[in-house]
Amino acid sequence: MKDEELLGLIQTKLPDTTPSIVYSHRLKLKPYLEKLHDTCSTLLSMGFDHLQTICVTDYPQTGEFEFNYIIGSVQDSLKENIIMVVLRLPRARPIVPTVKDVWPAAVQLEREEFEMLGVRFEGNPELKFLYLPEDWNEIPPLLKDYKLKRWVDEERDRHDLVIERVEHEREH
Amino acid sequence: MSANTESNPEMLAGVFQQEEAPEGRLKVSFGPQHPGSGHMRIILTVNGDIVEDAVPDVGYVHRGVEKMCEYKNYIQNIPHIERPAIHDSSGTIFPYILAVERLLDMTEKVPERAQYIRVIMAELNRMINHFYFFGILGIFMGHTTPITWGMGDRDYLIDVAASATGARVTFSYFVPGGVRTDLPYGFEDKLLKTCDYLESRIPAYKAYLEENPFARMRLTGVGVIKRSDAVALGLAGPTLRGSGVKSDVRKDEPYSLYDTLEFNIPTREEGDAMARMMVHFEEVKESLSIVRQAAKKLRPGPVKVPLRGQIRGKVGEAYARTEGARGMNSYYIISDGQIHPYRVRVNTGDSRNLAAMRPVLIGGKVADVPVAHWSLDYWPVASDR
Repeated sequence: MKDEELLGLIQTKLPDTTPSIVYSHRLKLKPYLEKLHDTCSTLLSMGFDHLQTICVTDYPQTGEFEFNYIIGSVQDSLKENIIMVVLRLPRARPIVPTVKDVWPAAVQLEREEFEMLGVRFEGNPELKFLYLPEDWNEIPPLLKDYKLKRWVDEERDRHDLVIERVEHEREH
Repeated sequence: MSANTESNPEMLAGVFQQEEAPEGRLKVSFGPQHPGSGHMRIILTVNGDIVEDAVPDVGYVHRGVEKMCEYKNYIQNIPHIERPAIHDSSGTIFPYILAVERLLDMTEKVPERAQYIRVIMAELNRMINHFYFFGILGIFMGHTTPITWGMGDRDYLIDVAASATGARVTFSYFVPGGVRTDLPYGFEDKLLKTCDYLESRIPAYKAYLEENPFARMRLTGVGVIKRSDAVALGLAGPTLRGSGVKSDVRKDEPYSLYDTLEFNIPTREEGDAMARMMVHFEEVKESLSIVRQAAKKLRPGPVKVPLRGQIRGKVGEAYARTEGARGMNSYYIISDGQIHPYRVRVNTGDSRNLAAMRPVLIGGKVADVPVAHWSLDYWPVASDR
Protein backbone atom coordinates (compact mmCIF):
# COMPACT_ATOMS: atom_id res chain seq x y z
CA MET A 1 0.00 0.00 0.00
CA LYS A 2 1.21 3.50 -0.75
CA ASP A 3 2.46 5.47 2.25
CA GLU A 4 -0.02 8.35 1.87
CA GLU A 5 -2.92 5.95 1.47
CA LEU A 6 -1.93 4.03 4.62
CA LEU A 7 -1.34 7.28 6.48
CA GLY A 8 -4.88 8.40 5.63
CA LEU A 9 -6.30 5.06 6.72
CA ILE A 10 -4.49 5.20 10.04
CA GLN A 11 -5.52 8.82 10.63
CA THR A 12 -9.17 7.79 10.39
CA LYS A 13 -8.84 4.61 12.46
CA LEU A 14 -6.32 5.82 15.07
CA PRO A 15 -6.73 9.59 15.10
CA ASP A 16 -4.94 10.37 18.39
CA THR A 17 -1.66 8.59 17.56
CA THR A 18 -0.17 11.41 15.42
CA PRO A 19 1.04 9.18 12.56
CA SER A 20 3.94 10.41 10.44
CA ILE A 21 6.16 9.08 7.65
CA VAL A 22 9.79 8.50 8.72
CA TYR A 23 10.93 7.59 5.21
CA SER A 24 9.56 5.38 2.47
CA HIS A 25 7.43 2.50 3.82
CA ARG A 26 8.20 3.41 7.44
CA LEU A 27 5.32 4.92 9.41
CA LYS A 28 5.58 6.03 12.99
CA LEU A 29 2.70 6.15 15.49
CA LYS A 30 2.94 7.70 18.92
CA PRO A 31 0.07 6.47 21.08
CA TYR A 32 -0.44 7.30 24.75
CA LEU A 33 0.51 4.57 27.19
CA GLU A 34 -3.16 3.85 28.01
CA LYS A 35 -3.95 3.45 24.31
CA LEU A 36 -0.97 1.18 23.49
CA HIS A 37 -2.86 -2.08 23.68
CA ASP A 38 -5.87 -0.76 21.74
CA THR A 39 -3.57 0.64 19.07
CA CYS A 40 -1.87 -2.72 18.68
CA SER A 41 -5.21 -4.56 18.46
CA THR A 42 -6.42 -2.13 15.79
CA LEU A 43 -3.21 -2.61 13.81
CA LEU A 44 -3.66 -6.38 13.97
CA SER A 45 -7.23 -6.06 12.69
CA MET A 46 -5.90 -3.90 9.83
CA GLY A 47 -3.59 -6.76 8.80
CA PHE A 48 -0.32 -6.01 10.57
CA ASP A 49 0.15 -9.54 11.88
CA HIS A 50 3.93 -10.00 11.92
CA LEU A 51 5.70 -8.45 14.91
CA GLN A 52 9.31 -8.10 13.82
CA THR A 53 11.18 -6.37 16.62
CA ILE A 54 10.73 -4.66 19.94
CA CYS A 55 13.52 -2.20 20.58
CA VAL A 56 13.91 -0.34 23.88
CA THR A 57 16.44 2.47 24.00
CA ASP A 58 17.86 4.15 27.07
CA TYR A 59 18.11 7.95 27.12
CA PRO A 60 19.72 8.91 30.44
CA GLN A 61 20.11 12.56 29.31
CA THR A 62 16.35 13.05 29.26
CA GLY A 63 15.63 10.34 31.83
CA GLU A 64 13.48 8.31 29.47
CA PHE A 65 13.11 4.93 27.84
CA GLU A 66 11.89 4.75 24.27
CA PHE A 67 9.84 1.69 23.39
CA ASN A 68 9.61 0.87 19.71
CA TYR A 69 7.41 -1.91 18.37
CA ILE A 70 8.26 -2.64 14.74
CA ILE A 71 5.44 -4.42 12.95
CA GLY A 72 5.20 -5.82 9.45
CA SER A 73 2.68 -7.92 7.64
CA VAL A 74 2.44 -11.04 5.52
CA GLN A 75 -0.77 -9.83 3.81
CA ASP A 76 -0.28 -9.22 0.10
CA SER A 77 -1.40 -5.58 0.17
CA LEU A 78 0.71 -4.55 3.18
CA LYS A 79 3.90 -6.55 2.65
CA GLU A 80 6.16 -3.57 2.06
CA ASN A 81 4.85 -1.43 4.91
CA ILE A 82 6.43 -1.24 8.34
CA ILE A 83 4.72 0.41 11.29
CA MET A 84 6.69 1.66 14.26
CA VAL A 85 4.69 2.17 17.43
CA VAL A 86 6.79 4.43 19.62
CA LEU A 87 6.27 5.64 23.14
CA ARG A 88 8.51 7.26 25.71
CA LEU A 89 8.28 6.54 29.42
CA PRO A 90 10.14 7.95 32.42
CA ARG A 91 13.19 5.95 33.39
CA ALA A 92 11.94 5.61 36.94
CA ARG A 93 8.85 3.61 35.98
CA PRO A 94 9.39 1.70 32.74
CA ILE A 95 6.30 -0.50 32.84
CA VAL A 96 4.10 -1.20 29.81
CA PRO A 97 1.32 -3.74 29.30
CA THR A 98 2.34 -6.82 27.36
CA VAL A 99 1.11 -7.26 23.78
CA LYS A 100 1.48 -11.04 23.81
CA ASP A 101 -2.23 -11.55 23.33
CA VAL A 102 -2.07 -9.47 20.15
CA TRP A 103 1.12 -11.03 18.75
CA PRO A 104 2.34 -14.18 20.56
CA ALA A 105 5.80 -13.41 19.14
CA ALA A 106 6.02 -10.65 21.75
CA VAL A 107 6.66 -13.11 24.59
CA GLN A 108 10.25 -13.71 23.53
CA LEU A 109 10.98 -10.19 22.27
CA GLU A 110 9.74 -8.66 25.53
CA ARG A 111 11.83 -11.13 27.47
CA GLU A 112 14.96 -10.04 25.60
CA GLU A 113 14.34 -6.36 26.31
CA PHE A 114 13.49 -7.09 29.94
CA GLU A 115 16.81 -8.76 30.61
CA MET A 116 18.90 -6.30 28.61
CA LEU A 117 17.31 -3.05 29.90
CA GLY A 118 15.37 -3.97 33.02
CA VAL A 119 12.05 -2.70 31.67
CA ARG A 120 8.86 -4.48 32.70
CA PHE A 121 6.08 -5.82 30.54
CA GLU A 122 3.03 -6.31 32.73
CA GLY A 123 1.30 -9.61 32.10
CA ASN A 124 4.16 -11.39 30.38
CA PRO A 125 4.65 -14.69 32.25
CA GLU A 126 8.13 -15.36 30.86
CA LEU A 127 10.06 -12.41 32.29
CA LYS A 128 13.27 -14.22 33.23
CA PHE A 129 16.76 -14.29 31.79
CA LEU A 130 17.11 -15.69 28.29
CA TYR A 131 20.67 -14.93 27.19
CA LEU A 132 22.32 -13.66 30.37
CA PRO A 133 23.80 -16.10 32.90
CA GLU A 134 21.57 -16.95 35.86
CA ASP A 135 24.01 -15.46 38.36
CA TRP A 136 24.20 -12.07 36.62
CA ASN A 137 23.98 -9.56 39.46
CA GLU A 138 24.97 -6.30 37.77
CA ILE A 139 22.70 -3.74 36.19
CA PRO A 140 21.11 -4.71 32.86
CA PRO A 141 23.88 -4.54 30.27
CA LEU A 142 22.25 -2.42 27.57
CA LEU A 143 21.65 0.51 29.92
CA LYS A 144 23.93 3.42 29.13
CA ASP A 145 25.10 3.30 32.77
CA TYR A 146 26.74 -0.04 32.11
CA LYS A 147 30.17 0.81 30.79
CA LEU A 148 31.83 -1.84 28.67
CA LYS A 149 35.18 -0.10 29.05
CA ARG A 150 35.13 -0.40 32.83
CA TRP A 151 34.51 -4.12 32.57
CA VAL A 152 37.35 -4.54 30.09
CA ASP A 153 39.73 -2.59 32.33
CA GLU A 154 38.81 -4.63 35.38
CA GLU A 155 39.30 -7.87 33.48
CA ARG A 156 42.67 -6.69 32.23
CA ASP A 157 43.77 -5.70 35.74
CA ARG A 158 42.73 -9.10 37.01
CA HIS A 159 44.63 -10.73 34.19
CA ASP A 160 47.74 -8.64 34.91
CA LEU A 161 47.57 -9.61 38.57
CA VAL A 162 47.50 -13.29 37.64
CA ILE A 163 50.50 -12.86 35.35
CA GLU A 164 52.38 -10.94 38.05
CA ARG A 165 51.71 -13.69 40.55
CA VAL A 166 52.86 -16.41 38.16
CA GLU A 167 56.07 -14.55 37.41
CA HIS A 168 56.63 -13.92 41.10
CA GLU A 169 56.26 -17.62 41.83
CA ARG A 170 58.55 -18.53 38.99
CA GLU A 171 61.31 -16.32 40.38
CA HIS A 172 61.32 -18.16 43.68
CA MET B 1 14.88 0.96 37.67
CA SER B 2 17.06 -2.04 37.16
CA ALA B 3 14.20 -4.13 38.39
CA ASN B 4 15.78 -7.41 37.36
CA THR B 5 18.85 -7.02 39.53
CA GLU B 6 17.01 -7.57 42.78
CA SER B 7 17.15 -11.14 43.93
CA ASN B 8 13.79 -12.16 42.63
CA PRO B 9 13.38 -15.86 43.40
CA GLU B 10 10.84 -16.27 40.62
CA MET B 11 13.34 -15.02 38.08
CA LEU B 12 16.50 -16.51 39.56
CA ALA B 13 14.85 -19.90 39.48
CA GLY B 14 15.29 -19.69 35.74
CA VAL B 15 15.52 -22.87 33.79
CA PHE B 16 18.56 -24.12 35.65
CA GLN B 17 16.56 -25.25 38.63
CA GLN B 18 16.71 -29.03 38.93
CA GLU B 19 13.29 -29.52 40.43
CA GLU B 20 11.89 -33.00 40.66
CA ALA B 21 10.17 -34.30 37.59
CA PRO B 22 6.46 -35.07 37.97
CA GLU B 23 5.44 -38.61 38.91
CA GLY B 24 6.32 -41.12 36.21
CA ARG B 25 8.19 -38.54 34.10
CA LEU B 26 11.87 -38.04 33.43
CA LYS B 27 13.74 -34.79 32.91
CA VAL B 28 16.40 -34.98 30.23
CA SER B 29 18.97 -32.31 29.52
CA PHE B 30 19.41 -32.39 25.76
CA GLY B 31 22.73 -30.59 25.37
CA PRO B 32 24.66 -28.32 25.63
CA GLN B 33 27.51 -30.79 25.13
CA HIS B 34 25.44 -33.18 23.07
CA PRO B 35 26.39 -32.74 19.43
CA GLY B 36 22.73 -32.94 18.43
CA SER B 37 21.70 -29.77 20.20
CA GLY B 38 24.18 -27.17 19.03
CA HIS B 39 25.40 -24.55 21.49
CA MET B 40 22.23 -24.72 23.53
CA ARG B 41 20.27 -27.18 25.54
CA ILE B 42 16.68 -28.25 25.62
CA ILE B 43 15.22 -29.42 28.92
CA LEU B 44 12.87 -32.21 27.97
CA THR B 45 10.22 -33.72 30.22
CA VAL B 46 9.53 -37.13 28.79
CA ASN B 47 6.84 -39.68 29.50
CA GLY B 48 8.22 -42.87 28.03
CA ASP B 49 9.06 -41.94 24.48
CA ILE B 50 6.78 -38.89 24.27
CA VAL B 51 8.03 -35.35 24.92
CA GLU B 52 5.62 -33.61 27.29
CA ASP B 53 7.53 -30.37 27.74
CA ALA B 54 10.54 -28.82 26.09
CA VAL B 55 12.16 -25.66 27.42
CA PRO B 56 14.96 -24.26 25.26
CA ASP B 57 17.82 -22.95 27.39
CA VAL B 58 19.83 -20.60 25.21
CA GLY B 59 22.54 -18.01 25.74
CA TYR B 60 25.65 -20.17 25.87
CA VAL B 61 27.17 -18.20 23.00
CA HIS B 62 25.75 -14.74 23.74
CA ARG B 63 28.47 -12.12 23.14
CA GLY B 64 26.65 -8.84 23.44
CA VAL B 65 26.89 -7.74 19.82
CA GLU B 66 24.36 -4.96 20.40
CA LYS B 67 26.41 -3.50 23.24
CA MET B 68 29.68 -3.82 21.32
CA CYS B 69 28.12 -1.92 18.41
CA GLU B 70 27.70 1.14 20.62
CA TYR B 71 31.45 1.25 21.28
CA LYS B 72 32.81 0.78 17.76
CA ASN B 73 32.45 2.98 14.73
CA TYR B 74 30.30 2.12 11.75
CA ILE B 75 33.11 0.37 9.85
CA GLN B 76 34.59 -1.47 12.83
CA ASN B 77 31.19 -2.98 13.45
CA ILE B 78 31.19 -4.94 10.19
CA PRO B 79 33.52 -7.83 11.08
CA HIS B 80 32.21 -8.54 14.54
CA ILE B 81 28.54 -8.44 13.53
CA GLU B 82 29.00 -11.21 11.01
CA ARG B 83 31.22 -13.42 13.17
CA PRO B 84 28.32 -15.42 14.67
CA ALA B 85 27.04 -16.46 11.25
CA ILE B 86 29.48 -18.92 9.77
CA HIS B 87 26.84 -20.08 7.32
CA ASP B 88 25.47 -16.76 6.11
CA SER B 89 27.87 -13.91 6.76
CA SER B 90 26.76 -11.83 3.75
CA GLY B 91 23.10 -12.20 4.68
CA THR B 92 23.81 -11.13 8.25
CA ILE B 93 25.71 -7.97 7.35
CA PHE B 94 23.48 -6.96 4.43
CA PRO B 95 20.71 -5.18 6.41
CA TYR B 96 23.28 -3.45 8.63
CA ILE B 97 24.91 -1.99 5.54
CA LEU B 98 21.55 -0.92 4.11
CA ALA B 99 20.61 0.79 7.37
CA VAL B 100 23.96 2.56 7.61
CA GLU B 101 23.62 3.73 4.00
CA ARG B 102 20.21 5.16 4.90
CA LEU B 103 21.81 7.07 7.79
CA LEU B 104 24.56 8.33 5.47
CA ASP B 105 22.00 9.39 2.81
CA MET B 106 23.66 7.29 0.15
CA THR B 107 21.01 4.64 -0.57
CA GLU B 108 20.58 5.93 -4.12
CA LYS B 109 24.30 6.40 -4.77
CA VAL B 110 25.48 2.80 -4.58
CA PRO B 111 26.82 1.79 -8.03
CA GLU B 112 24.88 -0.75 -10.05
CA ARG B 113 27.82 -3.14 -10.32
CA ALA B 114 28.19 -3.17 -6.53
CA GLN B 115 24.50 -3.96 -6.13
CA TYR B 116 24.68 -6.97 -8.45
CA ILE B 117 27.87 -8.17 -6.76
CA ARG B 118 26.00 -7.97 -3.46
CA VAL B 119 23.17 -10.02 -4.92
CA ILE B 120 25.64 -12.66 -6.14
CA MET B 121 27.37 -12.88 -2.76
CA ALA B 122 24.08 -13.01 -0.85
CA GLU B 123 22.81 -15.83 -3.05
CA LEU B 124 26.11 -17.72 -2.83
CA ASN B 125 25.80 -17.49 0.93
CA ARG B 126 22.20 -18.66 0.74
CA MET B 127 23.31 -21.77 -1.12
CA ILE B 128 26.26 -22.28 1.25
CA ASN B 129 23.80 -22.19 4.13
CA HIS B 130 21.29 -24.49 2.46
CA PHE B 131 23.90 -27.17 1.71
CA TYR B 132 25.10 -26.86 5.28
CA PHE B 133 21.52 -27.16 6.52
CA PHE B 134 21.00 -30.21 4.34
CA GLY B 135 24.13 -31.89 5.72
CA ILE B 136 23.44 -31.09 9.37
CA LEU B 137 19.82 -32.17 9.25
CA GLY B 138 20.85 -35.37 7.48
CA ILE B 139 23.51 -36.29 10.00
CA PHE B 140 21.06 -35.85 12.88
CA MET B 141 18.67 -38.22 11.15
CA GLY B 142 21.54 -40.71 11.19
CA HIS B 143 22.27 -40.49 7.47
CA THR B 144 25.85 -39.95 6.39
CA THR B 145 25.10 -39.29 2.72
CA PRO B 146 23.75 -35.71 3.09
CA ILE B 147 26.63 -34.49 5.23
CA THR B 148 29.25 -35.73 2.78
CA TRP B 149 27.35 -34.41 -0.24
CA GLY B 150 26.32 -31.16 1.41
CA MET B 151 29.73 -30.29 2.82
CA GLY B 152 31.46 -31.29 -0.40
CA ASP B 153 29.26 -29.24 -2.69
CA ARG B 154 29.26 -26.33 -0.27
CA ASP B 155 33.04 -26.18 -0.58
CA TYR B 156 32.90 -25.35 -4.30
CA LEU B 157 30.73 -22.34 -3.45
CA ILE B 158 33.08 -21.32 -0.67
CA ASP B 159 36.00 -21.47 -3.12
CA VAL B 160 34.17 -19.11 -5.49
CA ALA B 161 33.32 -16.69 -2.69
CA ALA B 162 36.85 -16.87 -1.28
CA SER B 163 38.35 -15.98 -4.65
CA ALA B 164 36.47 -12.66 -4.50
CA THR B 165 36.68 -11.88 -0.80
CA GLY B 166 39.85 -13.53 0.44
CA ALA B 167 38.08 -15.30 3.29
CA ARG B 168 36.32 -18.63 3.41
CA VAL B 169 33.67 -18.09 6.05
CA THR B 170 33.20 -14.53 7.23
CA PHE B 171 33.79 -12.34 4.22
CA SER B 172 33.42 -8.77 5.58
CA TYR B 173 32.89 -7.93 1.92
CA PHE B 174 30.02 -5.45 2.08
CA VAL B 175 30.89 -1.91 3.13
CA PRO B 176 28.72 1.22 3.20
CA GLY B 177 28.68 2.50 -0.37
CA GLY B 178 29.39 -0.76 -2.16
CA VAL B 179 31.66 -3.74 -1.77
CA ARG B 180 35.26 -3.85 -0.53
CA THR B 181 37.06 -4.84 -3.72
CA ASP B 182 36.17 -5.59 -7.31
CA LEU B 183 35.79 -9.16 -8.50
CA PRO B 184 39.02 -10.86 -9.57
CA TYR B 185 39.82 -11.70 -13.19
CA GLY B 186 38.04 -14.88 -14.30
CA PHE B 187 35.48 -14.78 -11.48
CA GLU B 188 32.43 -15.01 -13.72
CA ASP B 189 33.71 -18.12 -15.53
CA LYS B 190 34.41 -19.81 -12.24
CA LEU B 191 31.01 -18.81 -10.91
CA LEU B 192 29.08 -20.07 -13.93
CA LYS B 193 31.06 -23.35 -14.02
CA THR B 194 30.21 -23.93 -10.37
CA CYS B 195 26.55 -23.18 -11.08
CA ASP B 196 26.56 -25.72 -13.92
CA TYR B 197 28.12 -28.32 -11.66
CA LEU B 198 25.56 -27.74 -8.90
CA GLU B 199 22.75 -27.87 -11.43
CA SER B 200 23.97 -31.33 -12.41
CA ARG B 201 23.90 -32.41 -8.75
CA ILE B 202 20.24 -31.48 -8.22
CA PRO B 203 18.75 -34.79 -9.48
CA ALA B 204 20.81 -36.70 -6.90
CA TYR B 205 19.52 -34.54 -4.04
CA LYS B 206 15.99 -34.78 -5.41
CA ALA B 207 16.24 -38.56 -5.50
CA TYR B 208 17.48 -38.63 -1.92
CA LEU B 209 14.58 -36.48 -0.72
CA GLU B 210 11.79 -38.00 -2.75
CA GLU B 211 12.73 -41.63 -3.21
CA ASN B 212 14.68 -42.63 -0.11
CA PRO B 213 12.01 -44.17 2.17
CA PHE B 214 14.09 -43.56 5.32
CA ALA B 215 14.43 -39.86 4.62
CA ARG B 216 10.70 -39.61 3.90
CA MET B 217 9.79 -41.49 7.07
CA ARG B 218 12.01 -39.38 9.30
CA LEU B 219 10.93 -36.04 7.85
CA THR B 220 7.25 -36.35 6.96
CA GLY B 221 4.82 -35.27 9.64
CA VAL B 222 7.55 -34.24 12.09
CA GLY B 223 7.49 -30.81 13.72
CA VAL B 224 4.31 -29.52 12.09
CA ILE B 225 3.66 -25.76 12.31
CA LYS B 226 0.27 -24.48 11.17
CA ARG B 227 0.11 -21.40 8.97
CA SER B 228 -1.64 -19.26 11.58
CA ASP B 229 0.86 -20.25 14.27
CA ALA B 230 3.81 -19.50 12.01
CA VAL B 231 2.61 -15.94 11.45
CA ALA B 232 1.57 -15.33 15.06
CA LEU B 233 4.90 -16.58 16.43
CA GLY B 234 6.68 -14.21 14.05
CA LEU B 235 8.69 -16.93 12.29
CA ALA B 236 10.78 -16.08 9.28
CA GLY B 237 12.41 -17.47 6.19
CA PRO B 238 12.09 -21.04 4.94
CA THR B 239 10.34 -22.03 8.18
CA LEU B 240 7.57 -19.53 7.45
CA ARG B 241 7.37 -20.48 3.78
CA GLY B 242 7.31 -24.18 4.68
CA SER B 243 4.00 -23.44 6.42
CA GLY B 244 2.46 -21.94 3.32
CA VAL B 245 3.11 -18.22 3.89
CA LYS B 246 4.39 -16.53 0.77
CA SER B 247 6.63 -13.99 2.44
CA ASP B 248 10.08 -13.05 1.20
CA VAL B 249 11.66 -9.63 1.70
CA ARG B 250 13.37 -9.90 -1.70
CA LYS B 251 9.91 -9.64 -3.28
CA ASP B 252 8.00 -7.77 -0.56
CA GLU B 253 10.33 -4.81 -0.32
CA PRO B 254 12.96 -5.29 -3.05
CA TYR B 255 16.44 -4.05 -2.23
CA SER B 256 19.70 -4.06 -4.17
CA LEU B 257 18.03 -4.42 -7.60
CA TYR B 258 16.31 -7.72 -6.76
CA ASP B 259 13.28 -6.30 -8.58
CA THR B 260 15.18 -6.51 -11.90
CA LEU B 261 15.71 -10.27 -11.51
CA GLU B 262 13.17 -12.99 -12.09
CA PHE B 263 12.67 -15.66 -9.48
CA ASN B 264 9.94 -17.51 -7.63
CA ILE B 265 9.26 -17.92 -3.94
CA PRO B 266 8.86 -21.63 -3.23
CA THR B 267 6.28 -22.46 -0.57
CA ARG B 268 4.82 -25.64 0.86
CA GLU B 269 1.53 -26.12 2.64
CA GLU B 270 2.34 -29.07 4.92
CA GLY B 271 4.44 -27.20 7.51
CA ASP B 272 6.48 -30.26 8.54
CA ALA B 273 10.21 -30.94 8.40
CA MET B 274 9.87 -32.41 4.91
CA ALA B 275 8.18 -29.23 3.67
CA ARG B 276 10.96 -27.09 5.11
CA MET B 277 13.60 -29.33 3.57
CA MET B 278 11.89 -29.09 0.17
CA VAL B 279 11.68 -25.29 0.46
CA HIS B 280 15.44 -25.18 1.01
CA PHE B 281 15.99 -27.47 -1.94
CA GLU B 282 13.79 -25.37 -4.24
CA GLU B 283 15.49 -22.20 -3.04
CA VAL B 284 18.86 -23.52 -4.14
CA LYS B 285 17.47 -23.85 -7.66
CA GLU B 286 16.10 -20.31 -7.55
CA SER B 287 19.41 -18.99 -6.20
CA LEU B 288 21.29 -20.63 -9.08
CA SER B 289 19.00 -18.83 -11.51
CA ILE B 290 19.41 -15.49 -9.68
CA VAL B 291 23.21 -15.81 -9.66
CA ARG B 292 23.25 -16.49 -13.41
CA GLN B 293 20.99 -13.53 -14.17
CA ALA B 294 23.01 -11.19 -11.95
CA ALA B 295 26.29 -12.35 -13.50
CA LYS B 296 24.87 -11.51 -16.94
CA LYS B 297 23.94 -8.01 -15.79
CA LEU B 298 27.41 -7.18 -14.46
CA ARG B 299 28.84 -4.23 -16.37
CA PRO B 300 32.26 -2.66 -15.85
CA GLY B 301 32.18 0.26 -13.47
CA PRO B 302 32.97 1.40 -9.94
CA VAL B 303 32.16 -0.94 -7.07
CA LYS B 304 31.92 1.57 -4.25
CA VAL B 305 31.40 5.17 -3.38
CA PRO B 306 34.65 6.24 -1.73
CA LEU B 307 34.14 7.33 1.87
CA ARG B 308 36.78 9.67 3.18
CA GLY B 309 37.62 10.21 6.82
CA GLN B 310 35.54 9.15 9.78
CA ILE B 311 31.91 8.61 8.79
CA ARG B 312 29.08 9.92 10.94
CA GLY B 313 25.44 8.94 10.61
CA LYS B 314 22.93 11.78 10.51
CA VAL B 315 20.75 12.17 13.60
CA GLY B 316 17.84 9.82 13.13
CA GLU B 317 16.90 6.20 12.76
CA ALA B 318 16.86 3.51 10.13
CA TYR B 319 15.20 0.12 9.98
CA ALA B 320 16.44 -2.18 7.24
CA ARG B 321 15.54 -5.78 6.56
CA THR B 322 16.74 -8.35 4.09
CA GLU B 323 16.00 -11.98 3.42
CA GLY B 324 18.89 -13.90 4.92
CA ALA B 325 19.36 -17.60 4.32
CA ARG B 326 17.68 -18.53 7.60
CA GLY B 327 15.01 -15.89 7.59
CA MET B 328 14.50 -12.18 7.71
CA ASN B 329 17.44 -10.33 9.25
CA SER B 330 16.64 -6.84 10.45
CA TYR B 331 18.63 -4.00 11.98
CA TYR B 332 17.19 -0.99 13.71
CA ILE B 333 19.87 1.65 14.18
CA ILE B 334 19.52 4.92 16.09
CA SER B 335 22.17 7.51 15.41
CA ASP B 336 22.92 10.65 17.43
CA GLY B 337 25.42 12.04 14.94
CA GLN B 338 28.48 10.43 16.50
CA ILE B 339 31.01 8.15 14.85
CA HIS B 340 29.37 5.11 16.42
CA PRO B 341 25.69 4.14 16.58
CA TYR B 342 23.66 5.11 19.65
CA ARG B 343 21.67 1.90 19.67
CA VAL B 344 21.59 -1.11 17.39
CA ARG B 345 18.82 -3.68 17.63
CA VAL B 346 19.72 -6.87 15.83
CA ASN B 347 17.09 -9.42 14.96
CA THR B 348 18.05 -12.47 12.99
CA GLY B 349 15.78 -15.08 11.46
CA ASP B 350 17.31 -17.64 13.77
CA SER B 351 16.14 -15.87 16.92
CA ARG B 352 12.64 -15.56 15.45
CA ASN B 353 12.51 -19.28 14.75
CA LEU B 354 13.46 -20.05 18.36
CA ALA B 355 9.88 -19.12 19.29
CA ALA B 356 8.64 -22.22 17.48
CA MET B 357 10.97 -24.62 19.28
CA ARG B 358 8.74 -25.39 22.24
CA PRO B 359 5.41 -25.89 20.42
CA VAL B 360 7.10 -28.01 17.75
CA LEU B 361 8.78 -30.42 20.16
CA ILE B 362 5.88 -30.95 22.56
CA GLY B 363 3.94 -34.09 21.72
CA GLY B 364 6.65 -35.55 19.52
CA LYS B 365 8.92 -38.51 20.10
CA VAL B 366 12.38 -38.26 21.64
CA ALA B 367 13.98 -39.64 18.48
CA ASP B 368 12.36 -36.82 16.47
CA VAL B 369 13.78 -34.04 18.67
CA PRO B 370 16.99 -33.50 16.63
CA VAL B 371 15.08 -33.65 13.35
CA ALA B 372 12.42 -31.15 14.40
CA HIS B 373 15.01 -28.94 16.10
CA TRP B 374 17.37 -28.73 13.11
CA SER B 375 14.61 -28.41 10.55
CA LEU B 376 13.62 -25.09 12.14
CA ASP B 377 16.54 -23.15 10.68
CA TYR B 378 17.70 -22.20 14.13
CA TRP B 379 21.38 -21.51 14.54
CA PRO B 380 22.27 -20.84 18.20
CA VAL B 381 25.27 -18.59 17.56
CA ALA B 382 23.41 -16.22 15.24
CA SER B 383 20.38 -16.30 17.50
CA ASP B 384 22.27 -15.48 20.71
CA ARG B 385 24.28 -12.72 19.03
